Parts: sequence; structure tokens; C-alpha cells
Amino acid sequence: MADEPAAKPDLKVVSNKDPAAIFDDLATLRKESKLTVKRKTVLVNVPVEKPPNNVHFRTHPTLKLENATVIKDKNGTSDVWYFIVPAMRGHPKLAPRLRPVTIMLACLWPGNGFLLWPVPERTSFKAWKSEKNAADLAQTIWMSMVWNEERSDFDVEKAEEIDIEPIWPKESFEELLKIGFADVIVDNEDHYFVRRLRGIID
Amino acid sequence: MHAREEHSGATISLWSDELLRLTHAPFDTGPDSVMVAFASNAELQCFLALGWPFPTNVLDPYVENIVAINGNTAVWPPPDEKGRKGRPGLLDALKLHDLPARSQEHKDRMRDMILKNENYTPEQRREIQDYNEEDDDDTIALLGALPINDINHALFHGRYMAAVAREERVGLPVYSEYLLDELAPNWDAIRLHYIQRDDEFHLYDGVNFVEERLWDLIRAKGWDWPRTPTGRYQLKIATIGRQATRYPELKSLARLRDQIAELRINKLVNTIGADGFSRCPLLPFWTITGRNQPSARDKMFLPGLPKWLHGELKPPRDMALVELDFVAEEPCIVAGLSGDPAMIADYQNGDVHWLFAVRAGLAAPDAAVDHRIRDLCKPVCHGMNYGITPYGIAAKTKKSLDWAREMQARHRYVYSVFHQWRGDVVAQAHFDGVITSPFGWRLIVTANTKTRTLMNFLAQAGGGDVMRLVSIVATECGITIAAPVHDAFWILAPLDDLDTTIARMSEIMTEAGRLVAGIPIRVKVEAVVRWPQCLGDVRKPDAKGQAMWCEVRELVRNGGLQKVSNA
Repeated sequence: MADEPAAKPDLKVVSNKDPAAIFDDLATLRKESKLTVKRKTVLVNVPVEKPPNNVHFRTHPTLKLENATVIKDKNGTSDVWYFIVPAMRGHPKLAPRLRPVTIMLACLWPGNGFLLWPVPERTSFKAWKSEKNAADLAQTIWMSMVWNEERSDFDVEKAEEIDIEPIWPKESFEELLKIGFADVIVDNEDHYFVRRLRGIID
Repeated sequence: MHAREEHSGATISLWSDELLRLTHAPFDTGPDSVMVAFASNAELQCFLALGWPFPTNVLDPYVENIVAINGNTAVWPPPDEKGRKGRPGLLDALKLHDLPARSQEHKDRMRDMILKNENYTPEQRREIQDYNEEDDDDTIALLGALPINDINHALFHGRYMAAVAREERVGLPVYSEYLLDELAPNWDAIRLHYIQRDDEFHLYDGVNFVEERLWDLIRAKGWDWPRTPTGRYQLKIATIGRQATRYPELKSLARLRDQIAELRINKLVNTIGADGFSRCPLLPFWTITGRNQPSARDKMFLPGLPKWLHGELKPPRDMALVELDFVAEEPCIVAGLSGDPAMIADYQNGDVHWLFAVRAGLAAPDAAVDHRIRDLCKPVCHGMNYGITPYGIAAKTKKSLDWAREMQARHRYVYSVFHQWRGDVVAQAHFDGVITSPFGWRLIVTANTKTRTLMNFLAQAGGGDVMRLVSIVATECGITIAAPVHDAFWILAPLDDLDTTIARMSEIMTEAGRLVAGIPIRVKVEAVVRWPQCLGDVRKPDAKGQAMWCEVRELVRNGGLQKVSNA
């Protein structure tokens, strides 16, 4: 093979044909994409709870509702947080059960989930104080919070190495509150929660 | 040659000596006619060999039949041949459209008879003419059965087949003296050298791999290993490569098998012509996304071989061989088609993988590129085109599932327009029962079509559109394409016209990208090899495969190889 002289390949120098002219002709073949199907994702659920003990969290420094009042109740094994409007705070069945809170928007890691966290405003219990401190610290650093049975308090810890910033939901805080507390806003005497506390069987 | 003019009914039948006397085709090839041929790149190569000008219009029932069935798994591969690869030949296509077809045995016998002889007896001549006439009849019958709804796109496909014919005829020039006189004769000795050096588990007996030894090893190590449908361990190179990511002890074995031990150099030698060029059929439109899939029985496409062997590429006298690559072709296509402003900005501002890292909060906007972080983001960005799961991201990056979930969420957030578009495209495809690339390459969508295929279709088929446009325009402008390779082109240029040719080719590629994606796709000159050098002479020392290229050449030229007994 090496002894055979290599045949001169049939190669041509570049001609002067203008590529732009060829593209004019080809460009007409492009089919414009027409997407007639448009999906729309709707946010239907915003959890209201404190962050679980297996995640780290950040809280939004400005998106929060201070001086709110809630009542924590049970629905089976899960917690339900009723939002008590200011006009109902003096109701005799609600007043002793009220918790003054700041409702904060929290972002979770991993998974970039988010939730509305009723952070206690009172610090008379040390666990509430810890919870409030954790929420405040989480405005700038990733935190975690785990219940310590022996101390009857939360262990609050900083994440060792999460170096990314939280991604906040696109919806407004008002929209998130509406979705999170849908059906559990206690704003009148006839609300089923008030009726239940009064012992009225429907 | 046998041809029939449909409008007049005249037949033209010529033997090679008669063809050689002609300066152009013996039928009208002007703008008012169309040449119909099945797999027309073969016929058009004859035009090139005879020095005939190409027909203005080509209509290829091979391609249009693929268009008619692409993605329809109910008809292809045939229900009784589900393992069948490739695209339907003429007889298959006739059967698909319920047209009478001759037996494959008859066709094979005739083809063998034609190819194995140079002179034919009168009886053979009559048989060949009958066979050619039947071929014409079949091609025309097939064309009549095909639902060609858009003649302009059909002619566009034909124009591409002409470009393919030109590219296949050029081929890739190689350092054939080294390949044929030094590398190939020493191949077993080279393999043995590396096997003795790298076969840590003693799975080879000489140069022969002993499967049972690997089975024993798998059992002894307790490795979780994929099996074939018949229950045997899968031993494909790709399987061992994947397993090596789980069991790092296997890395040297995976490298050994992939790079050299299982490589059949004869498959490359078989592609080398007397002029020192490597030619392999490009097999246009072989993938469902309309891309080429170059291969042939007993042949291998040089760019598909391990990178170290690409060092073989060597231009002929007074020429240069140049590789021009699209930069991040697929990310640019999906950015442009989706219209995601963040994704478009990231493509236009530089490195898409690094800019995602910045958007995802993994790096500060003004930080210098950290390749460790960038390389982690690369599989995330690529994978999102086809809907990679957090498990896939974790496997590719070797990061935790938590990290993978976070990155997936962040990609969705920062490129929300792209994600909305990708979902809409998939929904639309299911709704329409078909999905179509910007330049009309379509895939039939059935209940069996995987969602991932649809997610990735426009990136891949759009890339195929770009490659077709470049091939057509560049070859029609007289640029010599030696080979299209996924998102790159190897071109040949005279040394004294090198800069102009590179500039023109870059301009053509950029413009083709813009036509498909809506935004220009950047192009970079990846390699320039000037005669008398080969790629192995000019590649950077840290380029992939270069160290091995140098090591093998050193071994071959300076001894150190043992003789291998063939007993």
C-alpha cells in the first residue's frame, strides 16, 4: 500500500457561489412552530407548619405577617392552623387558645419546597424562644431545628455547607396566605371550628 | 444504468462503456424535471464518478418512505423482526405499502452477480437489464404509494442526499502509511502490551477475553450486574463503562476494552481506499431524529473510534484538514426555540453551564470559572433537555440525591420559560400525534413513544436540520466536506485558500444555526491540520487521546512489543 502513489483526490477550490443566496431559498422551508396546547400549572397547596426536622430552611426577610393570631388544632395525625381574624380574637371560645405569631415564608433545602411558618411571638416558653431565634437567624443562613426530648427544647443548628441562595415562589405573599389558609380562616361566629368549640353538633 | 422518462415512457439503458463517453446524464436534469431514485446518494456518486452535473431536483422514495413511517413502531421494525435495525430497503418499503415485491434472495443474487463481474455474458446482460427495469418499476410504484404532502420538503431531502453523495465520495484522509504498514501489522502485539499492563483481574488469555473469568469475578465481588434476556451477564463495552462508575475498580478494565483491547482495527483498514482516504457510508436519516448514523458491515467510521485513533487524520499534499464545531449546539437550539430569555442570554454571554451555576447560586456572578462546579452543572443542563431525573443527575455527578433534587428545582426556576415550553411541546405532540422539527423532519407519536424522546426531539432533530442545511449550502458552494460528525464538520481546503475557506464555512454554519434556532449558533475552529502533518502531530498534549496516540507510536516505532502467537 505504502509503495503505491496516492491518487490525487478530486477536490475543488471554493467557488464564488454566494451562500447567502442559497439560504434565501432554504429559509422559506422553515416551519413556524405553533403551540396551540398551553399547559398552566396552578398552585393549589401551601403547607402551614414549622419546618420538618430533616431539612434546612431559610426565612424571607420581608415577606411576613406580624401580629397574626392562630390556633393549632389536630386533624387526625396532622396539625391544622386556624387563622383567627382580628375581629374574632375576643371571642370567649377562641381567646384562651390564641397564639400570637408572625407568619413567615420559609424555603426548604433540599428540594426547594416552601411553607408558611407560624413563628411564636411570645417567648415565655424556652422552645418558643428557640423557634423564634431560629426563624430570625434563618433570614440570612440555612438552619435546622430538631426537638430534643431531654431538654424539652429545640436543637437549633446552622447548615455546615449549603452555599446557595433560596429561590422564592413567584406568587405574591397575599396569594400564598390565601392558598395556605383557605377554609381555615375563622372570621365569624358560624365558622365550623367555633361551633365545634361551642359544642354545637351540625 | 437503467432509467425511464415518465412523461414520454422512453427507457434509457446504457452499459458502463457508453456511460463513460457521456458528459452529462442522458435525461433532462434541469429545473423542470425531477430525478427519482431510491437511496439516491448511490446514483449521485455515479454522477460524481462520471463527472456529470447533478440534477437540479432529486426525489428519493427511500427518504420519503422513512418520513411516512418514522416513529410508527406498529409498522417498523416489522412485527416479526423486532430486533431489526436500520431503515427499510426497497423491498421492505414495497411490502410496507402492500405492493408486490420480489424476493430478497433474487435481489442479492443479482447484486452479487453485477458486483463480482466486470464483463457479462449476453444472458447475464439480459438478466441485469430485466433486474434494473424491475427496480425502476418498483421505485415508481413506491413513489405513487407514498403520501408526499409537501413537495418542497421532499426536494429538500433530495438536495441533502446530493450533499451526502459528495461527502461520502470525499471521505476522511488518513495517514495510511502508518495505519497500514505499522499500526495494523502490530495490532495484536499492541493489544497484548496493554492487556498485560492493565488487565488487573487477569480476564484475558493472551489477547482473548475469557468471559467466564469476568463472571467469576462478578460473583466473587458480589457486584450487582445487568443480565441479558437469556440470563447471561451483559458484557458490552458500554455496560462495563457504566458499571465502572458504580465499581471504580473496573475503571482500568473499561478503559482497556474501550480504547484498544476490543477494537478491531481491520474495520478501519477496510475503509481505506487506494488514495489513502477512509470512506464509510453515512447512512443519512437513520436515526428517528433524522440524523446520520455512519456505519457498514465490517467498516467503522473513524470519528466514531476512540479519540487517540483520530491522530490518524492527515490531509493530502498541499491541503489542510479543518474541524469546525458548533459551540453548545443543542443548548442554543432549545434556548432559541423556547424563547427563554435567561437561557438565550446565557448562551449569548458565554458558557451556558457556568452561567447556570451562577444563576443557581452555586457561584458568585463575578467569580472566575471554577471547572469543578461547571462540570457538575454540565450534566444537569444537558439532562434537562430530555427530562433527566434527580437519580440520573446524582449518578452522573456523583453528588447526593438531595443535591440533585435541588439542582433540578433550580433549573426549573431559572429557566421557567424553557420548562413551560418543553412541557407544552410534549403535550402538543401527544395532541397532534406528530412532532416536527423546524425544517420539517417529523416523528409520528404513538402510545409507545417515550416522553423523553419527545422532550429531546427538537434539540436533536433541530441539530439534524442544522447539519443538513450546512451540508447542502457548503457542498453547493464548493466547500469540500470530508465528514459531518454529530455537531461538527471536517473540511478540506487548499493551503493557499485556507483562511477564506474557514471563514466561509464558519459563516455558513452560523447562518444555518440561526435559521433553525432563531439565534446564531457559535462556531469554533477545533483543529487545523496542514500537510504533511497528521492530527496526532498537532494536537495539544492534554487533548483527549493524545497521550495514548504518542504512547502507541512510541511503542510501534521503538520496539518494546512482543510477538503474538496466533496458535
